[in-house]
Amino acid sequence: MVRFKSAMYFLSRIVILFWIFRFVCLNFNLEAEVKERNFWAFKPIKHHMVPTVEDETWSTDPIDSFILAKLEAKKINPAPVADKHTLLRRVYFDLIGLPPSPSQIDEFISDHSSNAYSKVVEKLLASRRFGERWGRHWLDVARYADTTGGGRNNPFPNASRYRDYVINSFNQDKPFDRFIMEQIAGDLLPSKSELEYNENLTGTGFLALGPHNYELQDKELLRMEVVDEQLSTVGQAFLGVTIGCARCHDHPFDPISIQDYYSMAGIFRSTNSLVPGNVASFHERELRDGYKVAREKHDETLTSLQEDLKKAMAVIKAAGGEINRKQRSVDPLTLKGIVIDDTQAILEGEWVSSSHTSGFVGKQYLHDNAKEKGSKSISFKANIPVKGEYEVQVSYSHGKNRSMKVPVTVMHANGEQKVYIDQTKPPSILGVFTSLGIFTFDQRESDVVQITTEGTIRHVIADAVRLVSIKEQKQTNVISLDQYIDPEKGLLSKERLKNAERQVKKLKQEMEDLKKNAPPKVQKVMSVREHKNTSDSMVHLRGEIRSPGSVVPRGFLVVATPKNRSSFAKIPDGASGRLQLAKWVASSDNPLTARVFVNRIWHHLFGQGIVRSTDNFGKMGDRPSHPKLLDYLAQFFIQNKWSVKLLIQKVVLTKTYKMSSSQYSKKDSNNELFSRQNRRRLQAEAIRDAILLTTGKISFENSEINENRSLFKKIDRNEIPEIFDVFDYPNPGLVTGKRNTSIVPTQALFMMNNEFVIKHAGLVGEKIHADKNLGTEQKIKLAFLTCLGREPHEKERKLAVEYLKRSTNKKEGSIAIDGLVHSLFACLDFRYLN
Amino acid sequence: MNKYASDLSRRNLLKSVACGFGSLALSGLQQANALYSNSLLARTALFPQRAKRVIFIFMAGGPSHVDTFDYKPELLANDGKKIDFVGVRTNTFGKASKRTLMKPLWDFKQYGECGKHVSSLFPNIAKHVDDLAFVHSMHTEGVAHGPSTLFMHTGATNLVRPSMGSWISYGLGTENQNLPAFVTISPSSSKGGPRNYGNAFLPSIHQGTALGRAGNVADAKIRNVENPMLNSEQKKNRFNLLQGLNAVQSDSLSNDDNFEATIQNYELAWRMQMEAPELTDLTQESKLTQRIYGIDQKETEDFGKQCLLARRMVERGVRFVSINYSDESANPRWDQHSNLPKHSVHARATDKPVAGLLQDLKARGLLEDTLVWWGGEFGRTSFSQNKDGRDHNPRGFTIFLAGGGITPGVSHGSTDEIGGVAVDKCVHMHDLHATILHALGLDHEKLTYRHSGRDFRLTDVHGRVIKELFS
Repeated sequence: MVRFKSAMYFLSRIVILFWIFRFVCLNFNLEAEVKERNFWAFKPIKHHMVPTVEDETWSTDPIDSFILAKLEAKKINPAPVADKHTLLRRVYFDLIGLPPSPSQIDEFISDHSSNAYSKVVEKLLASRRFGERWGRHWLDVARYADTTGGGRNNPFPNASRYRDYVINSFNQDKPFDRFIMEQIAGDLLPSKSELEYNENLTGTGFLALGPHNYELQDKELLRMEVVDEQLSTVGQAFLGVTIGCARCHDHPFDPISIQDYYSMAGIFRSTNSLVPGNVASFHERELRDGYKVAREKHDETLTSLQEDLKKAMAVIKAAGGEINRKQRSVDPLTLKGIVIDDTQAILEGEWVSSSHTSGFVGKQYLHDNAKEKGSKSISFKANIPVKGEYEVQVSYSHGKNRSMKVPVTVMHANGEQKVYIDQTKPPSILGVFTSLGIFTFDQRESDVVQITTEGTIRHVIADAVRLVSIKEQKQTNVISLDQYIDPEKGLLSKERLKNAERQVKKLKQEMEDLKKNAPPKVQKVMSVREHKNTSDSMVHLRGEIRSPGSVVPRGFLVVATPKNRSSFAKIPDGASGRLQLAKWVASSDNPLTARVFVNRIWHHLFGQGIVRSTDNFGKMGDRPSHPKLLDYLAQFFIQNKWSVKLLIQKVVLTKTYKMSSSQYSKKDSNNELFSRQNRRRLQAEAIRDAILLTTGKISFENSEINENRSLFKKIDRNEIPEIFDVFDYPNPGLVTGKRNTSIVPTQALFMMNNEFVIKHAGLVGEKIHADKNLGTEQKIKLAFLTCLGREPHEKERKLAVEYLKRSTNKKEGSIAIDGLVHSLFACLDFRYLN
Repeated sequence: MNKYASDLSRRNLLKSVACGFGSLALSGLQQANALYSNSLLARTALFPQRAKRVIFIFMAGGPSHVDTFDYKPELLANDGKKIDFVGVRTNTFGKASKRTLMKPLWDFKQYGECGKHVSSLFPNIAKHVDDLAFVHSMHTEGVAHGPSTLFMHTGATNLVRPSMGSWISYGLGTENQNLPAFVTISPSSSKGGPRNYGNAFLPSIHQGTALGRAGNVADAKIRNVENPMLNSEQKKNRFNLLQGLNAVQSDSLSNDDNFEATIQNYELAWRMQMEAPELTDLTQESKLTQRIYGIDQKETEDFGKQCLLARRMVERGVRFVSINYSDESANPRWDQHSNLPKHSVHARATDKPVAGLLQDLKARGLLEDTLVWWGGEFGRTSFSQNKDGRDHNPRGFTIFLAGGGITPGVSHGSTDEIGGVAVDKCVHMHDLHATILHALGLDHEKLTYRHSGRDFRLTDVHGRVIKELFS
């Protein structure tokens, strides 16, 4: 007994020792992180005195003094202020992404008042084009796209609402801390109006836009992949740290532990981002619009009309039914249009063939036996002879044991559309087909319809698919049920149907009228929700989801939390903690958030950040070239209510911004110290927009949205438009604060030979050529003004004259001017910003 | 990483690569590191380089290994027998169910000195078995086409990662500065699409250049090298004017590498206009050569052209060429969930062209240092699905390699008796990646790129070189 007691005592000691050891280790870990607070990026933002400089006349702003002090210390002279032409072109592209028009240039050059430049800046900041330019910068960071990309490239039909939300936010000069809150936790913020509610909700699209492979079969892994992507994106976009590294082990370089990772991952694991399914999906949530009641009433009326219609349709069915009894199925050879029977379809999973219930196409139909739901599918491939619109119909033999919500996906030329059909109801066309709607198809052989069993409970039937060309329907000019009947075969008696048809027509007309006056369709945005089961997360050892470690309370990065505060979040029951995370990120106490964003602004205005690695402020990133200036800007930003416009205005008015880019100093050859402006290559969108502007396809004056502007192009992650691809458009699956700027021959080839460039050069050339009042010299001048916003230098003028002489000899007329414009689109001064 | 850096001076590098296809991204040229990552200058490998280039023949959809190269007499003997199978798909994950074994639908015969069993699907490839090395114990990640296809190309099922060809371009550059280092012929836009040849976070010069689209080899050309809108006189006049303007504009602002490189790129582009169309012009090949690839026959014409294009590319120094036997549909070509006999259509379309490529490479002495990799994203089950089809099988399948220093005439590893799961000397897709890099003289653990604070690899934290494949 005594022996037993002592053994127990001994054991308990070991246990206690173990716990002390664990505690020490944990604290040691925390202690290590605390030590890392000495790394510059994790230190609190500090107030610094504006340095004194020798040349006091140079500075116009404290920013200039911070820059000049460093230059003076190295005995480097700052570059002179750029000439007015250069400066105007620079500030136009930087603020609105477009070049100034010849008249805007005239106005500025001839305005000799001292505030001529600041007036331009004010005008540009107030322009709607400002949000389009700066919104696009943020969309790079938000890895924005209109499809998932990857394996099964699903469209994001409502992603553009997030895009427009971003543009509007920059145009309204929404305080940046608010902008952060909305994107991480907009769905959880209180709102005073429907408008505010909608705006908040739309912001959360940020979390939902990731490039996920929703068909990943291991759904627990998919869930964690989504969490990881959200966490990494928040980390890089707002904090400039690579949290994702700590998924499998403590961060190798930065003070981010695996506990930190799962502490934050717990927040996103408690957030519901996935709609389950064999191919899972993202959440879409409804916006509020004041039509809720009207919509309900409308639906009610519609339902009662549908009931009446059903009764009338039963008559038609009875008429057709008699024939069906004699003839249980429809011979596909008697049908018009393109018919694909189940025997030609491609099956996934076990399907059972049957002819038990009448009303099908061909010799049989297939059913899934109501087993292994979600794993079975069937695809119908069609050979489309001519590109055009087709009505897509599917057939099924209806019955009580069928599923009421069978998911059917139509894969058409513009994407995919999912439609649900109710297989308990009799099909309306010929007693076998039901219409899925009208879609456009390209001329080729491809899958057109896929029926799956996901989300269904009872039997799913797959029988045949039919595509009826709309053009052919229109040609025969018959819009009635007859169009589906081959008169020679006389499948249905026309006379019997006529009465019922009339009745159906009338009811349909009523429904049509009702639909015309229907309240607007409910609008949806991509978003997330709080998870039903919110909880702290376990550490996944080595990042493997099935190797659980200890549970860590939800919270934030220890190292970026002020010393005297706990890094664990106080989260109410049932909440994910996203709201708390949003507040922590958007806090002025967070040493990273403001620094990271002011550095992004600086990067876009100078072509390089004060911290060159815009998305990585950690140890593997670059150190700031001007740490005090960075803190000064961050403080200014916070003190001015996180106003983006105010900070941009302040920076572009400095001497530093206005410097010429053509000075070359050996002592600062890489321009580490900002002894000059950087010459920058225009980004893909700016090149395309500048070309469109010369032909008037887009305009600056037009204050409405310019839909032709590049940033409104749909971004399919699997098919980036060629001009974007060639000119370093960022990978829309990754956070990008700093675009690559390569110089490759594909760019030269594009400018020389691509149809887009040549066509637009032709349009401009034609316009110039058409003006009979202009002589050759004036035409050259106009071409330069239109394309480069300046008159030709003497040498350029001579080259142009010679070229025109050589080409006009061959009687090419306007083509010669086209060539001049084409060369101007491709030349250095068009592609670069000085 | 540092081993890939060098002490080349910045100016020298500029001089030597300024006329290269993917030559410059000057903004990043401040560190030795960036020098290599941003150029396509050919570089020497770390250790003996057995292969200088790779041709990857992608059989999209997953060809059945037990019906082609993985001979399983036990499967033949046990045709129709029920077995327990534990599911790997979402709704059947971890659940056991009874499945019915289905025998190979084609007869096997022994070929070559090594006596390799090959089914009647590939009579032409079979003639080359003494040049091939089979890996029968492949296994991989993902169960659906998208994730598995991405995994095969990039080593990741979901996260955006660089493609293998991009890694190799980054590691070795290219031997021909007038052509891209990484080309993919007729790729599909589905099942991962461009991500399968994307550079992800590697500098964009390492992105794969796609020639055409799946199913249309006639379209397989480098873009924007031809311009039917202008005649040659117009082209010349415009080009001279352009370079004249550029000279004036760069003159006023001396000492700018960006300008210099842009102007030189126009010169190179001008030359490429003359040379690139030749690359894809198959009429320059003799009738005999075309016949070897089956270009004279309708059913082998399309894939034969792809294979011949691949040979023309590697001959001219392209580092990594993918040939894609794929299409744009939801069920890729080899994906016979039902109607397995349809495999014969795909075998017929590819057998002669692949055999022709092997024969031609060998005759030209190119096989010695060109590594050929044939395979799908996974294999197929030994049990039947929908009566006469087979389901996806990522747990055991076969690929073959040829050339590039790989020991010929061997078979490595094996699946179980019925071809269900890899059991002996298992080779994960990560291992295959590591092995291919090894053949190229690259160490998969050292070929890294720092992105957002972390050193990334093609093989993540996995991968093991299969040393037995090298003699």
